[in-house]
Amino acid sequence: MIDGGYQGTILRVNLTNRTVKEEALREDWAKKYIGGRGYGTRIIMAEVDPKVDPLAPENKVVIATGPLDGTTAPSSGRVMVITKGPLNNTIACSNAGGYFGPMLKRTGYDMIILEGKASEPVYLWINKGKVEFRDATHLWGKLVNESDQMMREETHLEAETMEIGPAGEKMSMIANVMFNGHRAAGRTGVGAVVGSKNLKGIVVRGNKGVSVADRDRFAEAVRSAREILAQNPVASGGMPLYGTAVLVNIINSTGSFPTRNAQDSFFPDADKISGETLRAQNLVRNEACSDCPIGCGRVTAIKEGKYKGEHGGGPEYEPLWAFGAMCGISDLNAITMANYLCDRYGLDAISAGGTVACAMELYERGYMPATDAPFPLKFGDPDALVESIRAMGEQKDAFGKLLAQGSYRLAEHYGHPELSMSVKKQEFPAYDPRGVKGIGLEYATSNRGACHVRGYSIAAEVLSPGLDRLVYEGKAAVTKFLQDLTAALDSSGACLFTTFGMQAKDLAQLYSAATGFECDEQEFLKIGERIWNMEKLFNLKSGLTGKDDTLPPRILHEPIVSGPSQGEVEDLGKMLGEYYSLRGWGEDSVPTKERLQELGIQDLS
Amino acid sequence: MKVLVLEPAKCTGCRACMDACSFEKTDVFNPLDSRINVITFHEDLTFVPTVCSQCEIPYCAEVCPTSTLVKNTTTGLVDFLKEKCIGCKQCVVACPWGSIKMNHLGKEIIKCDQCSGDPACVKVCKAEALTYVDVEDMISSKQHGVAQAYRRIASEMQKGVNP
Amino acid sequence: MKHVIIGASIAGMTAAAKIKQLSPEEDVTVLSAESIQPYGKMSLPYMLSGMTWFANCTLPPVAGVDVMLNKQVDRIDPGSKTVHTTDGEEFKYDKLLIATGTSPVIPDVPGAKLSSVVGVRNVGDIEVIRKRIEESSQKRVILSGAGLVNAEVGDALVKLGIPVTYVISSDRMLSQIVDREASAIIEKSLTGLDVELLKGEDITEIQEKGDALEVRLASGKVLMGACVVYGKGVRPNTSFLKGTGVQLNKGIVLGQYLETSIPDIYGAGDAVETDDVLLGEKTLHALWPVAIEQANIAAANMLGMETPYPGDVLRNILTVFGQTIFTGGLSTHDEGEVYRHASDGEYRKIAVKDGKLRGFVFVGEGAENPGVYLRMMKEKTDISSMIDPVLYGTVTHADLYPSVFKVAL
Repeated sequence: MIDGGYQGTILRVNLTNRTVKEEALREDWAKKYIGGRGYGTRIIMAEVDPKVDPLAPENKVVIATGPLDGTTAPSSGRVMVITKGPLNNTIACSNAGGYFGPMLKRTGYDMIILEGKASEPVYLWINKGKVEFRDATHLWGKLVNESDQMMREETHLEAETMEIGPAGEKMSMIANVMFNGHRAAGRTGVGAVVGSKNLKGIVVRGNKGVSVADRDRFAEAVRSAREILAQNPVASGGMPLYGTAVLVNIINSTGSFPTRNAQDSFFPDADKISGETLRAQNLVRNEACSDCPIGCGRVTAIKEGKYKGEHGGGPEYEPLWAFGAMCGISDLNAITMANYLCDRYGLDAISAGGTVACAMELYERGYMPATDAPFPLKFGDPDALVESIRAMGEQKDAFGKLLAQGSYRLAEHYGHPELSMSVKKQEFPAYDPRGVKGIGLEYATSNRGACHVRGYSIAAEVLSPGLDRLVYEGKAAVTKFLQDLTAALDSSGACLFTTFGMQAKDLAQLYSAATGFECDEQEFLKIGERIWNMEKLFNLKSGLTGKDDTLPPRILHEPIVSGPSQGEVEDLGKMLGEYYSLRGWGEDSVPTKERLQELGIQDLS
Repeated sequence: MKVLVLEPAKCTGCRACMDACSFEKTDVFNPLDSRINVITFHEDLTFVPTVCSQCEIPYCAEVCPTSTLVKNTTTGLVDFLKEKCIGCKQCVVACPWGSIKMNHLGKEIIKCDQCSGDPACVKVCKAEALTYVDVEDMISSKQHGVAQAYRRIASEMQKGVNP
Repeated sequence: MKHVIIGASIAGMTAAAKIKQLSPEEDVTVLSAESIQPYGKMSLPYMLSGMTWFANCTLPPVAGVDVMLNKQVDRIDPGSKTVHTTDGEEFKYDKLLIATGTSPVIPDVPGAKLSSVVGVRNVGDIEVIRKRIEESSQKRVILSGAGLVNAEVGDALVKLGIPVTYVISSDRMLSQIVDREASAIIEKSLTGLDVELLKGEDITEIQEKGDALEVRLASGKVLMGACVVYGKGVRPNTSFLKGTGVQLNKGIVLGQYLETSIPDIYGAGDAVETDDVLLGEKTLHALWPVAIEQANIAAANMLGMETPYPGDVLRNILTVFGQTIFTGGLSTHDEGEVYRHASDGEYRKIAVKDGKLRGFVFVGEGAENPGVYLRMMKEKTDISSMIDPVLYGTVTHADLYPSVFKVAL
């Protein structure tokens, strides 16, 4: 019996037959995997062959909320997109903020399972429990901001939207799924899977409320959680003031800010692209996702130069780095424009920036013939950046088509895959493992390829004094702990940023009060570990092995040239073995029967 | 007397006020049952909160055929006496601000009562776009702001700068 | 000064209160033709359904105002400034307000005068319906006409579990306030209810048959029912004004200050014709909130405070058979550019001319921000840049003040 937190119903949409079916949420799975990322992955495990071609109709996409979505639990409006990813054949799972998650829940559905493939472009209009397949031929090819507006005008102005851009339609390997026109489920190419199904988007509007199991306990848990965040200097100071971009100066000052495709890791011009500069130069106001007291979102406008008058959301820290330091660019307006373009085309900004940086290095080293490039691809050239993003989004020529496949396929094409700063073909984000050791372990072991938000060890290694960023000891334990915590958190509907202040026990408290499923800190982490192992099992079945748990050779062998981390390289081997043993996995990274048994998922191996 | 002050320029659009309000009043999170409302303008991402302004001469009370809505001179609020309501919706039409409305089922009339002096919406508004302050404090803080501006102008004039 | 107010419904009582509020020294007398304390007639269908009760709908007494019951006005003598009542009394006035409201039109068919044939205008009419339902061996109530009042009466009866039959001469329900598409939705919501709808029909004869009524229709069809409720429109109560020189059209024609054509005589409420902002001519509004505003303004003018009446617009909001219907302006026919949206039993239509909202019909679960629509019509707001928000009901008062949030940018 589910008392609260969940709506209790999953919507199954078959795009091939244009049929829909309502199914009951399974209580046993809800208890075992919470919702969101965990429950969604369980569905994929049950229904999708791990060997399937990710872009084939047999692949499925789960759009999932968690039990905290649509409540006043702080920062609780996340929505998850779970599928088998085309970029690297892993269990792809990407999440976004905004308002779609809570509104999806108010239609009465906790999740949507998308299967099959529509014969013509369609979008879904889910209005108060009624589902319509709507023609999207006129929307196909439209930019995200355009189709977002059009879909809302055609349905309801106060509805919430999910959509893909031209990148997703053309099945770019780094296409994202956008929400509300400017919130991105960015990573792992989930947008390509949605595009492969001829689905332009989903519009939701509902009138059903979300109940919780224990009203007073939940109210108290929310009060306490909000108090914790209000007391936290990052969550209630740096984040609202400068957004995630507050990290630019912080990370650069540790010399762990990959620069010019990680040929260095210190960017002398960092302050020109910092959160402080962004605030002074482009910020219009703060924007918050549903029920978020942090409000890290930036509403920005370009106020001078050739992109004057353009406006939108962001850039966040990662794009500032990816288009900035990584491409050697210090022109904040060009970086902001590149970010807007990624949102409009529906491209993952981290991967897009990493790909342009890779292209620039290939070009400068002469591996990419000048004839292949429509313009000179020099590090530091803002026009080359913006035009490359445009080419990637539009895929009108061979250059654009190639870049749209991400840096790994690009570098491989020119015979130098080592120049792709990626793990499992996914571009790594804005922290250099050579200068922050633990994050390298996270990149190498993340179940979706290089990623910072599966186990954000930066919080422990840089942001709060605790662990020395340059030592290896203790990093495996921290990484495992954070990965498990995040897996459970991502399944609850809460945002990772709540963990600036909140701990596992606070999240467990919110989860228990909302659902009535008693869960303490240990149990919450155990659920996270269960989800992590399940994801790993999917990847193993998909064909990945322990050999894929590594880092780009540059990170392992080329010392940082300048700055505070000068001379550092990453020695992954010093952490990986310990990590596997903490996980209860063999040296080949395969989970042991015993550990799976402890976690209650031996049936999934 | 305290008043609910709304400052749209500070609003981040998180809508926690709407969730908190509906939860306080109905034990369920449903923004459609919230007494406070945040309008989002997607084109430029502006957010405007609106709520009952507890009018001195309330249109809603004037048109109510059963005296369900009454201006309370002690609290300054326009009280809604639920048990007397017949659901005729004249108040909903009469309110020029859209601040008295029907619930999500279209059945019940709902309006802000400032949670009897402890508004749930204010408690979750981290951006301080909603505050609940003494009317005197609100006025004196406005006066303070104006005085600050005068002081700056005066000091610039002393320096010989033409403001 | 001596003020006499004829009529003790919302217009009369609001005006009395306003006069006393503005100038407590005034002498105010209200003449009521009814034998009971003043009450809000708008609540009658709700009293029928049992949702509210008489004591909850009484209009609050006004301190210092004498409300005289059982005073049916016979005639007025503007020369001597005297009001004569049927019981032979005379009332002198300095200022006179006519707020006599309307009476239901009951056609002159055989049997129309039977005590169980009513139009809903007074508490007594509600009592008749209740009593007949209880006492008659027939439970069915026959409703002639499906306008505003009978729609609400039918809804109230259905809630009580009483079967009803609508006999309507036109081919659809609520034809006076909504268009054909909206009528269809409302009629569809009758499915599953014990409601019979006979279109293109008229009652030609009513006969008492024991404790029930036998009702003969133009087609020859015969119905049996407990009682007949007429809801085929209303007529302003103005017969006592004949020979006074007060200008009458359908109702009492008022000027800008709500004065009649005879000095010192004013009007307010359902019986008067005043400016309609959209039509650009005078019309009967006969709406509760309009009556209140007119009464307040008439009171000020009676005290010599010159207060022009800005005019108003037609609008209605009601919930019947589970549908909330919200209409305004020119709602029965199309004018200018018409935008429609219909889905899942929800219907929205707006008519826009020269960028101004001319009329709208919304049928569905609920009306969002209805007050904003009245303001847009009254203030003739240019809505050409916000057609969709206006059509879909997402427009809010904030849209009418664009400067408020543009400042924030």
